[in-house]
Amino acid sequence: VTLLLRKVQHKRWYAATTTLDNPLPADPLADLNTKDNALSLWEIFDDRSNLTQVVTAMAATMQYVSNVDIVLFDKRLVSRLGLQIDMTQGRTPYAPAVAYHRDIVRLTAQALLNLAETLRREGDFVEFTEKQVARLLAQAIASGLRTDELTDKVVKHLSDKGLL
Amino acid sequence: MPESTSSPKPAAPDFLPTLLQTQIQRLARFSDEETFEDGIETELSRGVSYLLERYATPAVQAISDLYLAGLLNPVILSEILPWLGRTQQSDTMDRDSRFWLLVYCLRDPHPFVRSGAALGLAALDDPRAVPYLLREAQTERIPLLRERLINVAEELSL
Repeated sequence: VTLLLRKVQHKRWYAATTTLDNPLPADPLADLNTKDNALSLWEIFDDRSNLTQVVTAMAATMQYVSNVDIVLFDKRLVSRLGLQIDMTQGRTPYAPAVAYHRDIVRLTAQALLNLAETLRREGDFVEFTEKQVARLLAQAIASGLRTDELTDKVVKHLSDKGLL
Repeated sequence: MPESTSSPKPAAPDFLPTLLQTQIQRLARFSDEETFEDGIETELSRGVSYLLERYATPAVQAISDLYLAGLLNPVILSEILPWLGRTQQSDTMDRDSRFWLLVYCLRDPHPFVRSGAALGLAALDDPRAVPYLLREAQTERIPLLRERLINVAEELSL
């Protein structure tokens, strides 16, 4: 099953995922901000073999090293909701993952609500800790990611931790 | 008694804790309208990390005093706590004061604060936190937060 990944903050989903019988709280919608009615996502292979590449791609755009919270969900859920996915270039300095970026396009407010409701019931919420993210960035640098593509704070963090 | 040749460390002025509390409250007030995203700097993160690196223990004390007085709202506090672990610690006392504040916050009634405390302990990278994280995980009722507590404990146990 091909998966889709959206970067979120798990704390925004605490109430939503703890009591599924209650109406959907509003906080999760803050994790589904759209631009031009499109929602940015990444496609993940069914064996999740490109998952760390995608997390690295997102981490490479951060201003400081932080944990990365994500939600993964079955790509088929998107068609079930009647939504359309377009292939778009990911904005990240980490080239190996650029091709995995996707957008759900032509979203309506109602569709976004339906997606949030689906995610809280069927999403797989996964956390990459700060330390894991630092290691992924260090590996990416070792395999060619240029440090001048990262912020000084990120590079200093990796250096202070002895990862560079 | 021979006189010590090393110059004594200057004592912090009496007004420093109050000054730092005022600074932190000001940052918190200005951050009311900010959107917080992991990995993205805000005025709050920049300000708090500066104060922690510049003033160390007195800044931790100021955060602690504001917290115990109930003067920091949980959303803001949850954004501040990870920086206790992320910023450079000046000495053992500074490190310990951060550690114990974070451990204390693991029992806060608000889940955002508990979450921020777990992230702070992960960043502080101190294995002493493991039993506290596991103890709180046993009673944590929010599955995603329980998972976070366990993840951090496992990572610190490696």
